[in-house]
Amino acid sequence: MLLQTLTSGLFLAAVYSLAAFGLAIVYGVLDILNFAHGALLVMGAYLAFTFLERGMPLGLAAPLAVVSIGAVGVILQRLLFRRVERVPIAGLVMSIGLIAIANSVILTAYGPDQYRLPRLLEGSVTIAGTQLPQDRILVIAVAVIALGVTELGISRAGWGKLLRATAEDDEAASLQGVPVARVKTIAFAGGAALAAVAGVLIGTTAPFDAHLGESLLIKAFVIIIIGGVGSTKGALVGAMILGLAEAFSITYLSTAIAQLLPLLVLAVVLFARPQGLFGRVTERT
Amino acid sequence: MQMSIKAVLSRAWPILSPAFLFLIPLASPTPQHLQWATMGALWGLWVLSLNIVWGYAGQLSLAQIALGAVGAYGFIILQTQLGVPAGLAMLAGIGLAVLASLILSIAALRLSGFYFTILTVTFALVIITIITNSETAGRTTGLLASRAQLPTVDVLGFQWSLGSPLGGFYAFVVATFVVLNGLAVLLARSTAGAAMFAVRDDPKLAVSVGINTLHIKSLAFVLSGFVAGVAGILHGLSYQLVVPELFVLDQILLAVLLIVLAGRGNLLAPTIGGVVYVLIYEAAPIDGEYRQGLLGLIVVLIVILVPGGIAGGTTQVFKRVTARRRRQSAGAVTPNSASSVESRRVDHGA
Repeated sequence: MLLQTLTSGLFLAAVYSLAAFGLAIVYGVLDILNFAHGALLVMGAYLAFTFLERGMPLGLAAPLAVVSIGAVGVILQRLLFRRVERVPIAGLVMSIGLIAIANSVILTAYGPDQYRLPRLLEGSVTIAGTQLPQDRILVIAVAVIALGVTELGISRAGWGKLLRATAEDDEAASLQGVPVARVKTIAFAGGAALAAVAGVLIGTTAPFDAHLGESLLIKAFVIIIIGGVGSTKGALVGAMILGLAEAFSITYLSTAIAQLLPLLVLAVVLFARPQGLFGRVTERT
Repeated sequence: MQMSIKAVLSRAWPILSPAFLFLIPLASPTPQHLQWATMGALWGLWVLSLNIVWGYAGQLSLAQIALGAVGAYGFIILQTQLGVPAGLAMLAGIGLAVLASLILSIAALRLSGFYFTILTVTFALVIITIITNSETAGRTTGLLASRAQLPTVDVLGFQWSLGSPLGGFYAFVVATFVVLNGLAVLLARSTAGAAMFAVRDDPKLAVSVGINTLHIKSLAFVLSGFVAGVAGILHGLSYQLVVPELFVLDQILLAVLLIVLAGRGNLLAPTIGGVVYVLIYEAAPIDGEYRQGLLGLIVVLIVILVPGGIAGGTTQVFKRVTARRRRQSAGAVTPNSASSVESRRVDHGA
């Protein structure tokens, strides 16, 4: 029971952290509260479905969907978000407009039915006498790898330094010769691609429809507040907290409490440590 | 003399504008057009609720639709399950929405900007989840909200049945919109309204002139909760069904799109928002699934091209045209001339 709960908690944490990580990058670097992040996530899953339908194997369809959503991110940033950089609320409003457009596109192309992608792995492994679904464990592994590489890159690699400099102060970065516009485009594309990874992985474990993005988006918001807005490390820890808390309260308390959890955790964090676990006080404006 | 009539008109226009919705069915009183006008007034109310808290006081709350749900479910549960008369249940439902907004405002308004918005949207999600899991609230199938239970009121000898299938309910919704919108315009022109605009435009300056920003924001939030409660109840009654679908995130985002399109903070925004809703969601000859995409597309373009929305955009064009005309007739206009002060006053909401 404990091991099962732990696995499903880690699975939730993996999915949540993938969704929240991209949101945190986009907010940190571009200062945009991107409501359309959930829509990008769902479209990733739908695209993978379409590629599969065209006869591609999952191993090709999934990466292709991720890359396509990344490309959509490039287009959105260069065509739309870059134009309203100076108006803080405009990016948020625009992203709400994009949700409406995405919903229309999904309804037109796929209808209201639920879809699902094939499981990554069938069957289960037995650890210490407990049966654990293999595909969920694989999802956790994929998330750990994807986020580990991204986080390492951000903290160690050269491009990560440019990203952090832009997030810190884009004007100063620009004066130091950082190609700020390009860095921002890459950050947006990366955030979108991570959302698509989350979407595809969720699609392989459960049926999805256009509403999948909504509740995940709000949980991702809660997570980046828990962790400290704009902090990618915080997003990971926040996702762990929320995912494990959710799984454990479903098993040991009740589903009702599990559903109240985002609000409860949010309230506790906001009053005990408003800047979030990894946030700095100055970030709160 | 001519100027003063113009001035009176420009001050009265935001109050009178929702009455425009009376004209659609007057011109052609088919059930379909009555339905259009009802939905226009209903969405006008949602936009009005958002306009008070976001347009006036500058706090983007996404909890409005959930506050509406509290009102609607409170009303229908009191009425159908506890036997409270419809009129009284309605007042109680609105009271519950106000209470919920008061509680939420105590918690949420200590936060600013981004954090406030996230807390309100989380609140909205949790309310909907509670409703869809509650047996009393009818889970996902919802609760019937028959209009037949609505009272009949005596208006100067005329028996007005608020729930009557054709004209009665329509007139009830539109009249409610006209009254609440009028009150909101008066609020915008009161000292409290001026304080809200000050908090929105420059919170630090507002504090320095002695405005208690927390109280002013709470006031805006609670008043918007009141309007949301009314809108929620009427929304349920308009479909004769109170279901979670009426109060999901998509709906509040729709209200956000409408208010941005109409011109946030503008006194005409609720009316324009209602009319835009009718045009896109009822009148446009396109398939249902394209409607929200069309609205989204227009809003994305508006954000880039006309940040003030329809109301702000037309004021801008109007100003440019009159300025050019004035320049042609009387040479350059000094910036501190009386007329420019007056136009700034009228613009005050934009």
